[in-house]
Amino acid sequence: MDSAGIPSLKGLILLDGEGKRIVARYYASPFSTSAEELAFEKKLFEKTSRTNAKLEAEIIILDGLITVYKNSADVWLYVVGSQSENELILVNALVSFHEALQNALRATPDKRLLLDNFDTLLLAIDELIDGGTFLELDSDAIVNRITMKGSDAGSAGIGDGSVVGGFTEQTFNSMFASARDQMARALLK
Amino acid sequence: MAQSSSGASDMAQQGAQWLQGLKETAMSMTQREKKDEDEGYSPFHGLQKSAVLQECRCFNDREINARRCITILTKILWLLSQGDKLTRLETTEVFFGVTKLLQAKDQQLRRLIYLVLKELKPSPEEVIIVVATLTKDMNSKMDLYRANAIRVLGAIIAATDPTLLAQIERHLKQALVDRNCFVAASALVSGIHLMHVNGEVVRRWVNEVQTALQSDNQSVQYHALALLHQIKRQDRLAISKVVASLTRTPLKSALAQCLLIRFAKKVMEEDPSGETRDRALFDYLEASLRHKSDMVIYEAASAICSLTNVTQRELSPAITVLQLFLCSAKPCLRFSAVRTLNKVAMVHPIAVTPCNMDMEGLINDGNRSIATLAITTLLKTGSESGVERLMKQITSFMSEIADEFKIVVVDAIRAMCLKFPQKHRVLMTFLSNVLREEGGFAYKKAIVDTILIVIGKVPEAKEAGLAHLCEFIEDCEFTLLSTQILHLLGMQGPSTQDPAKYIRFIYNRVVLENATVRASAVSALAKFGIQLNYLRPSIILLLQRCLFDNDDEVRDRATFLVALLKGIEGGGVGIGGLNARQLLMEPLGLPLHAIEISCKEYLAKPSDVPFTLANVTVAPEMLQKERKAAATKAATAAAADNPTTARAAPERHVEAEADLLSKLPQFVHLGQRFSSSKRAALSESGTEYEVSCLKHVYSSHLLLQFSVNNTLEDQLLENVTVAVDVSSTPGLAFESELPCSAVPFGQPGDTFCCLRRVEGLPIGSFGCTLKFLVKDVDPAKGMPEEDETGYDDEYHLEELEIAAADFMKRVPVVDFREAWDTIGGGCEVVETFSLSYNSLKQAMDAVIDYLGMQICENTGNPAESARTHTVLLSGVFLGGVQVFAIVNLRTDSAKSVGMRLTVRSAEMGISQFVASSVA
Repeated sequence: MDSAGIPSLKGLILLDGEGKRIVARYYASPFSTSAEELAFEKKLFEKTSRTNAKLEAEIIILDGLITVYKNSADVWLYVVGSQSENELILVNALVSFHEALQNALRATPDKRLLLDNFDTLLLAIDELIDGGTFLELDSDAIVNRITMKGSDAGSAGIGDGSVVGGFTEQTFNSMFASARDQMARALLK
Repeated sequence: MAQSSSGASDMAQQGAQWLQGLKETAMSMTQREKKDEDEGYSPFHGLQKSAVLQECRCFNDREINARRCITILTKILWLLSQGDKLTRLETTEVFFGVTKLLQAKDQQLRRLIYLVLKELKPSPEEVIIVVATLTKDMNSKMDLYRANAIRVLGAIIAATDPTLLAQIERHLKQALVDRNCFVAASALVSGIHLMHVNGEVVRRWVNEVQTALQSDNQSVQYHALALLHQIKRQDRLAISKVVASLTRTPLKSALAQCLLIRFAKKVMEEDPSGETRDRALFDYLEASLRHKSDMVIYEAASAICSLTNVTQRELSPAITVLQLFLCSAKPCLRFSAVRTLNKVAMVHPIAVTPCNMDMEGLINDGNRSIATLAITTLLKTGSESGVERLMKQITSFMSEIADEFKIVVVDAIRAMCLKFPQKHRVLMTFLSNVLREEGGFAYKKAIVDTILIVIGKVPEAKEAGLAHLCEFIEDCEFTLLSTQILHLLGMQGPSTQDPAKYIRFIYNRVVLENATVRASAVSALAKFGIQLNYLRPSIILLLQRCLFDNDDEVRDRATFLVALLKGIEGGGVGIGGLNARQLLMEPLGLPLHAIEISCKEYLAKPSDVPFTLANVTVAPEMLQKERKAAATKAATAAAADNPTTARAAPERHVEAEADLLSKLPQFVHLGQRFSSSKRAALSESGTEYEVSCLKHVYSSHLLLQFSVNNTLEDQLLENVTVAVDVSSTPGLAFESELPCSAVPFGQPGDTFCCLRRVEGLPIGSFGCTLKFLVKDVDPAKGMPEEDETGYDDEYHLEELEIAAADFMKRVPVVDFREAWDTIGGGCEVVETFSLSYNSLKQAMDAVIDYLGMQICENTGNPAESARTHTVLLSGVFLGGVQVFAIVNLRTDSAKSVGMRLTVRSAEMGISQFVASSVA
């Protein structure tokens, strides 16, 4: 077993509504060339784009790899792992990642938003994963670290007032932002 | 009052602000929607690498514009993420630019710089420049700076120059126990990566890591556990202590608990005591099934399901949990459950049956992966009565899924066919239906393979199966499959009730197909001609029509086969010492390469005696090569997950290889091999030199084949022999030996010793000594020095035993009673023994081993509670004398088993010899 069985992933991929790569990260890549990577992404998109993965993460085995995926507006988020990996850990990572993006961008991530905030997207990946293993699965902690607001996870910020403050303010902000978004949408309809 | 009014106005103001914000958001949203219509919008549209690199120049400005730099860095990252590569020179340029930016105070910019540094993969010389700055950041007051600097340094050092670690070790070690969790987690994760490149340094941190394990923070705890395991992974005892203590105190982090479950399982599997399972650890796994997090529950359930020798009772709590998952609304949970149950079903189908109802509901699952797994699981667990219903459901399902899933289903159907041979009709009809449908090569091949295997295993299915296949080749676009089927028709067709009906199908191929298929059709026809006298004239007629085929191979085959068939008509013999039947129907027992060499030699020096295969000899190197080829073949079969062929292949190969031994030039005079013993180990596994022995018995010789495996990396053994001391065993004389020229580390070699039987049937044991010339080897190079002369050495082996069983060949008889009566009681020997064994089964196995005979009429399985049992045995003794034995066993007391042995054969001496061999 590689790395003595530490939970790990093989890749994290974001594709747009036409299957074009927004970003793709491979760790201990199962593919030897970038052409193979692109071929895998194309195949993945073909197999998954017609399924409904808006509410719950979906799952597929492709080319001997387990991939869990989620659909968010016009983007598709994929987390790829080996067949021996616990797929529910992969799902957990996927959901945290999506939540972190949502909170950091204060809206449902779509292609435009992600491209406009490409740095945020990359930082979110960097805070989630370190060299193929999961660094942090708590979405609040990830958001705080991206925005350089605080380094602690909400659940563990014991005895550090400023950090807790940062965290709550953060949650409030994002809450208000999403409430405002929702209302604005309602008005427009 | 005043206060409250001011409060109210405050509120109003806030409300107004909020509404203002709302308006702005709405405005920006409409704008954005407008932009969305303009498709293909991207801030990076038409971005050129050269242009971005130009922009990088502003990194050198005296006044750094943080916003602008962030945009540029993002653009660089975008290019990299799209697969663009920077050249060495460009990387250096960007890297130096970025190092300038480290002076800026902007936090967002700093965060992005950390990321870029990791992405750029700078060269070791360049790295030095940033190490100082990053080390400073590692001691900064900002926790975020410290954590990120640690991660960047860790990544850079792991990727470039592991020796740099010594410089920053002190800081890292401190960071491991930092009270900020992000800093500590970063240091721990870096430690995990650095472990691979510079384990020595990381191992020194064990105390700090132990402390970190006690942290309240979930991530820190998780990473500390992972690193601690990495550090101690070589030390099984230490690991099991850590695991045992951690399983008693609950871990906070779900990930850490998953990890601990993995470690606990590994400890259980590697437990040297083997037999008994560590109860405490198993209880921990079982308790984890009640955890609140799905991933921990699943990790524990799949760990239990994949334990070696897991019992039904141990499985049941895990299965119950997985059954709940099956009904979950989340597809991933359903998938994970059905995937694990599918694996369990291979070993313990009964344990999975309670889930069958839920599983049937999943056949129509929207997720095709889940549906396929559910189907295949049902195929494994389903009862015989449910087969028809299940096949009906699958038929509607097959058209909806992709080829790769269909193959999985077909594989499961194959297993089912073998499990319920009576149901072959339903299953065969299903297979022939799907064979007619559209599908790619791999899918069709899977179906054809399945039919071939079923035909081989279920004789009743043969006629129907062949008929389906005949129909299939009428319209088959895959040459490989056509030839495979034609070959099978040739082998199986002649022994069916009405062989003539296949001739038409085969001859149609000759008329309609491409050259490859025509050639194999010609061969298939000839096989009918050889076996069936009444068809031979017509087959010769058909083959003669192929004599003018425009393809060389077809023409050659036809010419050869016509000559062969006419030869049979004329009562002639075959070629090279083989008759026509052997030539066409049986595999050649020799490597083609060896025949080729012998042919060349014969042609160089032709003689009056015709060439025969009996004179072909094999060089020892060729033996090695054959074995390697067979090993790779077995490995591919195993990889293809085909258990039946994978298991049979090595056995068959051992036989074939033993037959080749007498083709070694040194041992040609031994004649036909009579039998071979099982492999007996002469040294314990794990010692310096692992030696095992195979005994081959010939009519008047005994050939000992010693396999020597050198487990010392720094030694090369040359001129390896095994000296056998036969002085104490009368009747045996040493004749010759064949040393193995070299046995390098990890590549086993064979050395042979040939003994002659002077008189009688020698039994007994004798001492063996491994003798060899040792040369020291530098493990790094794998070769000894040029001038190394080496020295002679010896190694004592355990004694080798020759028993009566070695002279016996396991040969079954069809009707034991009849054979027993036919041979009569003329040469009967009856003996009674009292054996000290704990159980009937143990005693039986031991006796059968002593006698070396074949169990007949399935009498080898005594009922568990039986107090008496009778085993029927048959065999052929050296010289071809048939021997039968009846063994009556009775448990006398807890520790002893009574036995009466009755032996019959055609010769009194042999009966006595066999009967006495148990004593």
